Amino acid sequence: MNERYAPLIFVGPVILLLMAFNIFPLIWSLGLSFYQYSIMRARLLRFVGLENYVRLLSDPEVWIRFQITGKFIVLAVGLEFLIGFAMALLLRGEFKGKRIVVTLLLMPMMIAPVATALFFRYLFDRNWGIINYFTSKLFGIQIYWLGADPSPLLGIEYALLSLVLVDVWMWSPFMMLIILAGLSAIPREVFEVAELDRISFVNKLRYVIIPYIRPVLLIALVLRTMDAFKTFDTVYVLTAGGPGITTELISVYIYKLAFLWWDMGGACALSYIVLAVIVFLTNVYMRYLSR
Amino acid sequence: MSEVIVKGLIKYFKGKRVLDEVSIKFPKGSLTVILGPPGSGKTTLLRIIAGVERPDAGEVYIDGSNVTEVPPSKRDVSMVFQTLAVYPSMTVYDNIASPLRLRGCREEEIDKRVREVAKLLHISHLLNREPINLSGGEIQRVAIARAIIRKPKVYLFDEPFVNLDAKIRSELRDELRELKEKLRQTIIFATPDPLEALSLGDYLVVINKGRIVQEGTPQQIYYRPFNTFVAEYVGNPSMNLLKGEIREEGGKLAFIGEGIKILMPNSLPKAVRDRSVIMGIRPEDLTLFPPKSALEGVVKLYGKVYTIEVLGADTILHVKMGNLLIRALLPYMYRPKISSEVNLYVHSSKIYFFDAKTLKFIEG
Amino acid sequence: MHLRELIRVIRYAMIIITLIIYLFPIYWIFVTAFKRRIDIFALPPRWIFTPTLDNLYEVINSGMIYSILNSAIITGISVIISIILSTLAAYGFSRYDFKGKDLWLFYIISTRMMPPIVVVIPIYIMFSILHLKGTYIGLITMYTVMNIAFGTWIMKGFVDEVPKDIDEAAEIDGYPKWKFLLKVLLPIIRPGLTATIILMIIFVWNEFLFALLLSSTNTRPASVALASIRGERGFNWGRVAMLETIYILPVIILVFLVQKHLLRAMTFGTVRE
Repeated sequence: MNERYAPLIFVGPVILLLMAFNIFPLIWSLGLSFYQYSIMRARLLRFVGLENYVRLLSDPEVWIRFQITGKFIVLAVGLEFLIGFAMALLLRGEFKGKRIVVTLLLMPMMIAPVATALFFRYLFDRNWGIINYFTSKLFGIQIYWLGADPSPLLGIEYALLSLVLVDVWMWSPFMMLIILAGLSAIPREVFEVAELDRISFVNKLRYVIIPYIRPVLLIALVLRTMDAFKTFDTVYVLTAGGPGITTELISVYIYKLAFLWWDMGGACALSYIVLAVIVFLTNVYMRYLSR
Repeated sequence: MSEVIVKGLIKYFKGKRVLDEVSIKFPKGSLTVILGPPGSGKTTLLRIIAGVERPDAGEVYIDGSNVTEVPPSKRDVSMVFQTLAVYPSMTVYDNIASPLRLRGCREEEIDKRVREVAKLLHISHLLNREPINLSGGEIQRVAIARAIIRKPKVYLFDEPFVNLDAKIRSELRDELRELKEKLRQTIIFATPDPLEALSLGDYLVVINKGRIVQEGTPQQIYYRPFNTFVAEYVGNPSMNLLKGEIREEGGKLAFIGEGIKILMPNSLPKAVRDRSVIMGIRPEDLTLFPPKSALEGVVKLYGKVYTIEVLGADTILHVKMGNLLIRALLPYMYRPKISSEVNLYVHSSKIYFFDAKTLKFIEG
Repeated sequence: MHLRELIRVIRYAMIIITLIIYLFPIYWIFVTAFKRRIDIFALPPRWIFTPTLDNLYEVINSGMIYSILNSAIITGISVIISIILSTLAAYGFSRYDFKGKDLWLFYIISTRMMPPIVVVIPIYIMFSILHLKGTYIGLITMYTVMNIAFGTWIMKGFVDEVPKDIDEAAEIDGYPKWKFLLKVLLPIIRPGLTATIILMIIFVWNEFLFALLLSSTNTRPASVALASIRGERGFNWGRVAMLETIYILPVIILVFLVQKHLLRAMTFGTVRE
């Protein structure tokens, strides 16, 4: 076999496919962001330079969506971390059936977000949902989970809260897994020394566990934040961005921009803005947390 | 029995010459050891002969034909690697059988050969096992079995025992020595271990920094090292080297250097007198008592015991003399007190002399 | 020691309680799928009920089952193509050096950072022009492209673990390249291969956005079918639950099959267990 061409045969198809369906569209969408274009009125292709970017960045509607997305991410990732951490502490170390337990806890992540959102809609249903059944039994109230009323949690609308809860249900196990892996990397001797020194639990946390988990935590947070920006499926099925715009995350807004209002140039521009935000945040995480 | 010749091999790696104009005629039907420190180019040389790497210049000839451009599968060579390269997903039997299967031999023939070879390497009981269940030594036996089953023209061994522990290493070494008598083929064996080289090789090629330093029989290499590198490298523990001058002082010859003065016998050849030399004394040639047989020509060294290494039945004595630490290998257990004074003796005929500037061996 | 035993028991209890609470939604959907309409809307919720397969018949008869078929076709074909291409590319990246190799590797990792929405818009336009919208081929192509990005990266990790000496030993023994890949390399990387295949299956099976935009009513996979149900009012939860159960069951089974390698592959090899 000809040595020089061998690598090309192996890698060629993948590279070609990526070029055609990944790189090329990326460049296209970047270019498109500088135009005003709508597939509905294809003749109306107009070069507008940075106008899309300027327009979007100065549009209060866009900023509201960013805020909503920001609230969502902070709440969701924060809760996922806390719950994941608690679960990891609970599942730490070896015990019989650990593998099965962890696998079972993986399910929420693996099930299609569409399916998850759909059955949470059922669970959250005001009249027939089983969650309201429990709350009415325990607290005597029924909550309109998918409505726009402010909840006791910082006045955040119930709809957004429900979205956060679904996301947390899905992804806390992911955090748990990563933290578990980080915990298992701590050499046993360090624990034993802490044990011998009779360090309190809080201090054990601070000085033994956290330094070791840090790198792993960083990865988890970066991954989850990036994914949280991309959240679309769950919202679409759970609330479609509503009621009103209470759960209209930025990804949903871009979708509507492109396929409801057909402002494709603008949608491309906005997605690049979001990409820039993700890259920026990732850098911030890296710098701050890997001190 | 095949003849392997390499001519003018040059190989670059990251801008440096890993092989620098290497030309060797490997003697037919014998085991040639390529000896050199890590990074000297032994593995690269072997791989070029095997064909898994191409030289940047130079040619490889097997039985007279130029095989430099020929792919490995067509060169009819076999190779045993440093890193236990057996196919993990096949049984031992299938591993050994694969070279023959690939060439389309009949199953009955293959079965016969596999069992023959397995018996030769004492692994008949392992034929149905998988490599993950085997120890390092057993895996290398499988690799060797796979290498010899084909009866190739050349057998290549690239530091095959270097990752095994000492006991297995010497076991396999002995078996290889027996095997080579039975096979009577051209074998090229690379190793950084001088003892392995001396015990296995019919012919030695010492290589350093991509260049051949010396070729010859083990005796030639051991008793007539070309320069201090060869002298020091081929020996364990390595040869003691003392730099100084041999002068006449008050009618007596003496070696002066390194902060010491050693009296030399007058029988010392003229060639080494009145010049800067490096004197080489092998640790195994030093004794605690003067040799009974010859009193003429015995050189005495003295110093203080610095440290002791007891290796089972041998002791390495480190003695401080002037600026130096002299090592002596004594064939018995000896535990003197640290800092006690001690005398060491060596016969002048066993001393090696090298020119201090060129580092080359001085004849005479 | 009594205290130690007690702690262990409490811990087990807490784990089981956590599991029950956490997995309750999944259990509830399974159960709803087999309930009669009255039982579904009963309050207080019926824990004990007479199971029925009515919902299953309705799903099959109403044709809702076709979306599952679509999912199967699209997933199956794209994963087969993806895994073959990914493994070949992984071998190429692992064993050979060529111009731009590092750049390409870097690019492949960075595709994970990309929100799919950036690519979706031009793809939508492109496919409209090429009349690929609503075809099986269109979706299969897109999923193949998405799979080969992470597939190549993950498989490269597995191929890297196989020492290069085995390649050379095989070369010397006389193995032609294709035979070596099939008979020697593949069996060695089989566990990683299986895990990657299953991950790809799960990804394509669950995907929504591209399916939503690029499929038609005939070709739409189950994810889109389920999503479009949500618009209706007072709809039949029983049927929905049954369709969902059929939809998520394969994934659950597959996850159980690859427990070991899942974590490593999911975090791109950065986390091992």
